[in-house]
Amino acid sequence: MRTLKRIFLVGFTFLLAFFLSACEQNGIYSGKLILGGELVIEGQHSEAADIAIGDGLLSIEEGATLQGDVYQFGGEVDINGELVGNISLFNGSLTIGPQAVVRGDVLLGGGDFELSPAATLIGQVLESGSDLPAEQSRTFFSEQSVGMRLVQYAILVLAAAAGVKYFTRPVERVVNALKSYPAPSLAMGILVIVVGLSLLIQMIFTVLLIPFSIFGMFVMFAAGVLGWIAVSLIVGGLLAARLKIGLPKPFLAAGGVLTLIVVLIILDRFLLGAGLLFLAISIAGIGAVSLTRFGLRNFETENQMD
Amino acid sequence: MNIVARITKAQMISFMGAGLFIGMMSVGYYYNLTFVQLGIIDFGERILGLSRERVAVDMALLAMLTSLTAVGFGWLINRLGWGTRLILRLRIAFLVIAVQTLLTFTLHQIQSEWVFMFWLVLCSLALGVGVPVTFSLTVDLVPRRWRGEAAALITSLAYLAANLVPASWQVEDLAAPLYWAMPIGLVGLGSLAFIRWPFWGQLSIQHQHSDYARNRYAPSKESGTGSRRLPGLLVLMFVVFFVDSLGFLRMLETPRLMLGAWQSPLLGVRAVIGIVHVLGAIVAGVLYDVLDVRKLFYWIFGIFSLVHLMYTFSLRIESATTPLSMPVLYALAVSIYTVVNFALWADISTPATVGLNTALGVAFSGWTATFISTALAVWWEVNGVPLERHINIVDSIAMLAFVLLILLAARPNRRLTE
Repeated sequence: MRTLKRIFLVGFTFLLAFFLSACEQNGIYSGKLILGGELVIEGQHSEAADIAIGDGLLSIEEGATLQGDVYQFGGEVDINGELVGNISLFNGSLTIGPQAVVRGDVLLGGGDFELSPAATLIGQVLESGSDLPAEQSRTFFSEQSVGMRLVQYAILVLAAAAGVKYFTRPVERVVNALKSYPAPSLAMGILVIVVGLSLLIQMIFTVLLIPFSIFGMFVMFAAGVLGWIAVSLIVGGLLAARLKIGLPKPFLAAGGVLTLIVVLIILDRFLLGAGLLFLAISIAGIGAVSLTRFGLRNFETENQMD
Repeated sequence: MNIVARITKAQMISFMGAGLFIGMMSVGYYYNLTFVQLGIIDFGERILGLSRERVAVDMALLAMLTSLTAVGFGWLINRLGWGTRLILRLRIAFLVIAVQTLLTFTLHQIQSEWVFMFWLVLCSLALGVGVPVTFSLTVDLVPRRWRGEAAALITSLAYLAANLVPASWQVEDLAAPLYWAMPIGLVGLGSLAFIRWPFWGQLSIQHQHSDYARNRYAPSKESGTGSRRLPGLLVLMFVVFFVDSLGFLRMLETPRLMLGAWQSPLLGVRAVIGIVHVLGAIVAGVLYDVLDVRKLFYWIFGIFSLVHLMYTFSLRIESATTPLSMPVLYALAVSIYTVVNFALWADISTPATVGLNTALGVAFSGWTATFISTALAVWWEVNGVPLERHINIVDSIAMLAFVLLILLAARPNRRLTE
């Protein structure tokens, strides 16, 4: 949740900075965005730019100067030189060292702040109240009412049953791929998710391709849903075989979904690994859906020797 | 009970043979990745004081000589039937590694460009002989059903070590682990190659078994014939090496792109890249066994297109730093094509053809692509082609290859299999 929040804020900041960079009000707006890695302003170098840092390191070393405001959403900021501007700390670690000279205010909203007694601060340290919403508890399932939770589960169960009933052949093909080729399904899922998400995010940056990106995200979501329905059917089938019960496939899928939900809740509450299990199932499901082209064809090995 | 014991012993010998191959190739590829491709450049520029262009020309000549030597020796292996003689090829590999060990230890003694050129010639000859000899061992030591996994292991070990072990890309740091690894490897390989151990009986004849020496892409053909897919695959692998080399050569000279990635002083960053290499190799190894290799080329060119586009975009907006996602994607593509490179040439060969096929696939495609891309990169830089334009062109080539592959696959009534 914390990572998603950070990504959202950094992405929003970037879009805002991107828009502002096109403005020509009183000159050219210059901003920099640090999403990882390091930006070190050292020596007698003087930099003039507002800086937003989501992750990574911003370091202003002794003798160097940064003219601009710093917006810290994460990462580390070390100041031992001169900063002519304000610093807004939302998250991360801000250290103002003994040789630092800050000609502006420090607005504290969150994160860790350390101010050396020997530092020169020509401004104020303000508790801005601009802190981010309190961090969500680190459980896989967020705190919600029991009623809302039951409604969500009911929707998932019905969706699984409906998916199996109305898309029987595609689901069966995905199930066969998962059962016969679990490792290739996982491998393909990893490729699809890593490359696919990178492509979709890159499309957003182009602005023009945002509609395609949205469509792509929808396709990926649909693949995930189909994959989960297939896994639910497998789990339901295994349970039914173990209990020696004969049930129609939609009921098996519904039972499988319920079982997976219970397992995830138990892992989340009492053990660890709920997120990992969720991720593994999603990856394998998406991989199997990719191998079968959304269940439109059976996947068979293309190795002529097998 | 005796039958079970014999089966288990035979499997253990097979595992040992595969393990020998994986160990040899991992160290050899690490040597090539670090010492040859990075260390020699650093030695020439920093220690000998040669210009960047001069070193680039020298490296290009090394690539061309290696390529020619490999093709020549690969032809010789086929011509003399050495593809069925495991012990002989192991002994040749021993000699190659002995020469490479000697060259590694003597590099720091060089003080003039002429001696450096002579050293490069010897290095080229050793590499050129070594490539077909060592890669041809696949048909003897690695059964067909393990080749994806074996290639994945080799790729993982080599790239993980390359990202984690050297403290810097200076030749001293790159050569340091080789000073102990190569002599140990030499002694080990020598004892295996020159002592007639009992397990050589089985290993020497494994190439006769269909599990080892049948051409995956032409299973109905008998030994001595090639595959119609070879020329197309050579072209594809050439383009892959060309795209990678042409782009990376220029990125190497851009600290902004390297310091947050492969040359980061932070071990954590390099570890992430190393782990992605491992993950990419495992993914590629698993998929190689079940998919046609053409599908993996889609992914390779697709990822290269995307990542070079991301680099171009980052350069255009003058981003202060580059996100780790870019080198991560780059590492993924590199791992996939490296796995393909290690597994494919043996799978498209038989013992009668493996020498020349591996020479063409590994050395000719790879080193020739390096030669041409190095020359091109130097020429562009001398003529003032900006970095963004350079990466843009590389992106275009990768994208073109990807689109052409898709179009070829979509042709009606044509299959890319024999």
